[in-house]
Amino acid sequence: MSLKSIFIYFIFIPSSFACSTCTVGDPTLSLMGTEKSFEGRLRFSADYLSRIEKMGLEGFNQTKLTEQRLTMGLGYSWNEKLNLSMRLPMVRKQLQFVNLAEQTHSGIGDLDISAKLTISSDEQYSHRYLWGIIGGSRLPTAQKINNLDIDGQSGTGAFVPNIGAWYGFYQYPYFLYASGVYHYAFEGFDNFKAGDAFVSTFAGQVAFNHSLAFQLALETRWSKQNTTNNQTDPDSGGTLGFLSPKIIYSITPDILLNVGVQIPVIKKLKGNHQEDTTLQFGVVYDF
Amino acid sequence: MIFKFLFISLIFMINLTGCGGGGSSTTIQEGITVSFSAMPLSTTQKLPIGNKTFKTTEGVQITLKKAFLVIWSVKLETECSSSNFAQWFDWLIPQAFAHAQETPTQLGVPNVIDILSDDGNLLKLGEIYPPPSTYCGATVELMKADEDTQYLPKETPMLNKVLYIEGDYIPIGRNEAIPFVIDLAKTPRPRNLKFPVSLLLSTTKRTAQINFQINYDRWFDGVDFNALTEETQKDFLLNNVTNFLKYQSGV
Repeated sequence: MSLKSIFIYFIFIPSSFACSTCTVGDPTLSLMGTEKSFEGRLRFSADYLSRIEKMGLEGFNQTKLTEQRLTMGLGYSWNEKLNLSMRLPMVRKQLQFVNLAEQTHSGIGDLDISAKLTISSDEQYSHRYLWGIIGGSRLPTAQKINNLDIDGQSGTGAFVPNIGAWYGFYQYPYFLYASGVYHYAFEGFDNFKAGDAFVSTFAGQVAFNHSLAFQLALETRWSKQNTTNNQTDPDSGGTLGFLSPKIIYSITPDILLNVGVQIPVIKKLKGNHQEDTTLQFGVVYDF
Repeated sequence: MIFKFLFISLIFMINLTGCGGGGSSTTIQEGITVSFSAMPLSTTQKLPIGNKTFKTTEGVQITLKKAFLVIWSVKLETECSSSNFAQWFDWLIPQAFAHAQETPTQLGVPNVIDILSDDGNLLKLGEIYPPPSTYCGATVELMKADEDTQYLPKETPMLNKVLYIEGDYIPIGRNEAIPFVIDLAKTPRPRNLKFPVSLLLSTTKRTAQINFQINYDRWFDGVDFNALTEETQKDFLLNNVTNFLKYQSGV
């Protein structure tokens, strides 16, 4: 895997958030890359994420969610323009309530399928920039567990289609990328409906040498408030932004490792709701 | 190549859902739960279900033929040293319209208590799930019933009422009963009840049951029946109702 691959494969680690609709970052990148791909490319990825989210007032009604998520992904290039991918998370969640109640659940989450289409590239400058559209859907593959809070389920049991656009600019040793995706969630388990969300990503990356690169991204999410039985959850929705530094290292031509954190820097969430720094690392392998 | 993708996808899915991460596990540990109940209870003798006949401290004989009281909310308190918990005379406060809030320390489900049920018969008001702490008392609010109120009687419309009574009284030295109806929508000051022993809820003490008793036979003590239609007497009665709502037991 060349240095260019570091840019084109791994601009960002996918970072789907626990509530299944609280996505921050562009999950298509690690599997599909941003380069003008070649027909038949098949790629595998595994990404680990650990995070903590707190909802409500501490000592009064706060619920603490601790989540570990291992997401396995497969990506396939249909042709130069079209990339397809599927991602399936294995999720472990622990919910701790203010009254000392605890719920711990491990299971398969919701399958995410997506397609990324390159619409235009500059032939004149050797494909220095590319842009196109992204679309897909999260599918309700998670099994509903009775007596488990919706925040403790491994998925929401809802269809969450999404559509957006992306742009990439590559000029060694730099890479820039931007994308914006709108998510619409249908009703899922227990009549829970996640609020519509718009997720944006702005990132830059620089290579130090042929096997090591550093990237820095601002990943934001704006979302409406969640509802259950048409009752609005006051501790949901709003705007959240993460600053995401990341190290990418190529150990062999076919294997890339990455490790990074997401540090919340924009916290305009509604109600009493906070997200802590997220730890993530992953690997990508080309067949 | 597409067949290779489909084949690997299939293997990928089977491994994940069937063999690898497919198995799910769930553990649920219950947390702290506090249950509230209330019961009508005469201070002199236990009266059965049906009409309740008793005497006031002045000797007036009262018979209740219908009697309903609305307990709007119950809240556990961690601070009981404020003046609210002093046993001074409760004045009425203006009518409140706020909907009862359900919080980890407050039961926000209003309940209609049928006073004519068996004395000592506990009526379950509901449960709350508070954080671990030491709770020294509870605040009980009496307010008008709304549509979400539990145990709304079918034969007596209790919406927008705090207290409804139908009955009669026999004045001292007379034999004939005089009927009366009391229909109140006023909101009395919240009833602050201090527990004899503080309730400590922790990892080792996760459940508690708190019961309240309603000493209905003391409601009419000191009431001037000749002026029962006047606001001052209605207020006096409502203050009695509040004062004779008491902590009964806690486990």
